[in-house]
Amino acid sequence: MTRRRREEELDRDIREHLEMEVRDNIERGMSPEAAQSAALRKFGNIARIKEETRAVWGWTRVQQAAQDLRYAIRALTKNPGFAAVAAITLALGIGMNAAVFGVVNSVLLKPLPYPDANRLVWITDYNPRFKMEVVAGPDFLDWKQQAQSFEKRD
Amino acid sequence: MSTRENDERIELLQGTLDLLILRTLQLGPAHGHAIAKAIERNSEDVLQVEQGSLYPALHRLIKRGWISAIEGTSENNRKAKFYRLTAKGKRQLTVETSKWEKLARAIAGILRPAEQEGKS
Repeated sequence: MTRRRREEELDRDIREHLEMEVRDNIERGMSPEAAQSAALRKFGNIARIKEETRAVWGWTRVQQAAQDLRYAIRALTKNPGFAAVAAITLALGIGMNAAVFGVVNSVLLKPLPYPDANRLVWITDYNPRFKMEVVAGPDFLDWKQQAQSFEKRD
Repeated sequence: MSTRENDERIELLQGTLDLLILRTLQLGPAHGHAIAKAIERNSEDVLQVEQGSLYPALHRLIKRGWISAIEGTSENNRKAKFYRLTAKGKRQLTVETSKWEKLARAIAGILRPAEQEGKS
């Protein structure tokens, strides 16, 4: 039996039950309004009872998750401005994260794309006037030719 | 029925509703409202059953295979669901009844040990 049908049958059962109770109450001499409210009072909290019955059927968690999802979609379509802002915020956040991680990954985490990357060294000269690492062309050529401690010099 | 004072009524113990439903259905198939009425009537309105709580219990009993639901027609000629005891349910009723009697005897024995002799 499908869930929808079960749900409908439960609704019908409860409706039928309340009608019988109301009719009994009227036969006992209550006014229709009093009969109605007495029947409802005696029955208890209908929403809670349906909830408990559904729990017996099982799959409550899945159902509730689906319900939450439907509710979220409904709330978002009702307020498209907010939905757009939320989506853009998320997109920017995720995009930034991905970009930063991309840089960090290639600069810091991944070894440089050379054989035996852990044996690489960085040699440089420092120019205090410009406050930066610069190597004069002739120096570079000399190092390349004469620095024999290094396996390879590029 | 509803004119009775609430404090004369006793709330059902956990798990006893199932037993009461099974016992009521032993007399023949009935729909939800009739079961509630029968329990109230036969307990002389002492037991306070929140009528709605019957439904989770009925569905629980169906799931365990102790009762089954059939489509029928109620006294006001409407389609209604009737609940019927299954063979498994009948066996369960016997088990539950003897369990309950044991419990009731034990509690009665503790509460008034003197009277116990003559009674059972």
